[in-house]
Amino acid sequence: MDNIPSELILKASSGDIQAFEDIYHRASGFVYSVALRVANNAGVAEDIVQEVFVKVYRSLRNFEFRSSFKTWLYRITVNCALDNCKRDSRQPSSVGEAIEMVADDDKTGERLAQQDRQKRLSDLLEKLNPDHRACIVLREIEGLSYQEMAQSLKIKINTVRTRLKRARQALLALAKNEVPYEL
Amino acid sequence: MNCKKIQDLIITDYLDNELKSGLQAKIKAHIEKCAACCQFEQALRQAAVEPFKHVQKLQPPEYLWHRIKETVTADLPETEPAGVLVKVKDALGFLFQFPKPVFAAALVVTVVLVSTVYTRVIVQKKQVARQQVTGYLNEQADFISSLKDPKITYINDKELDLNAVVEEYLL
Repeated sequence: MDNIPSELILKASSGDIQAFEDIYHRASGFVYSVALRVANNAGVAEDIVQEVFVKVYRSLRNFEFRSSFKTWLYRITVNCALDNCKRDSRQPSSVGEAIEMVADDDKTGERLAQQDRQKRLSDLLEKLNPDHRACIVLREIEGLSYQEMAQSLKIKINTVRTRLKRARQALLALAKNEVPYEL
Repeated sequence: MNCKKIQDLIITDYLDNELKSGLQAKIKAHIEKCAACCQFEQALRQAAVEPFKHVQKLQPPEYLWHRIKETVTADLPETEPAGVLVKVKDALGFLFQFPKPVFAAALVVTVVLVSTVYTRVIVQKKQVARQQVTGYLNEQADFISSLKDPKITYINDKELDLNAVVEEYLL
């Protein structure tokens, strides 16, 4: 996600809806991606995106620039996604629909390959517990550093390490047929 | 460092380039020599890193922004600045933005000062009142004790020859 200029945040915080739309277009990809990977359901992911941006809009006046806007947004997103995940027991089945919706212009072969990769990814993430899944998504897909992850999840860096370790051990165990390695 | 410790680092910091460059290089050198750690690193990359590479970046559907806009514009009367007073308050807001510990310390100092001054005023008032009462009581005690003194004589109205003076005045 690109950095969001503070002038834009100030404008949006004073009720400028155009500025808020600009923030939405810069940040919604990240929010949607994290929501979809953590919740593993396109419908739930849309609800999470809506919840996150409504929360952001309502809290912007109180945003004091003590932490970066990005970190603040990461935290709201991950919290909303994890809360939804723990609360909502809808079947994780519609990630593929989300891929189809955004990939309509792609060539058919590439689209199928992409869908295949997404399906595999979705199956893997589905098998991890939500906290470990959030760590893997933030690290592997969004490329956050340990420091950023710790701030976003409000946990210690060593807890980030532990969760990543457990998640990767689980992924290694899941792939034992393809990757012959005994832990 | 033994292989177990090295593999603990491989699975997190080494894989994510979070180690200092010296330690990263040491572990890389160990992996090149040690078959078990080399196999572990390769398996890990294949199982836990590769599946997440080249993942398509997703964007939410267009209609979602309209849904969000509808919700937040319904809030606008609450979130819009109320007028001049709010603007002035926002402009001067920095004057009142203290870090929490500083604010707490200032509050404690203020409370201590106010209670000290208040206590002093009350004590002084009580002392003055006590002195007044003591003075009055002493005067009364002196007076009562002087009544018993035979040396002191008091003039009463009967002894004064007031009648003559009044008569003279009236005539």
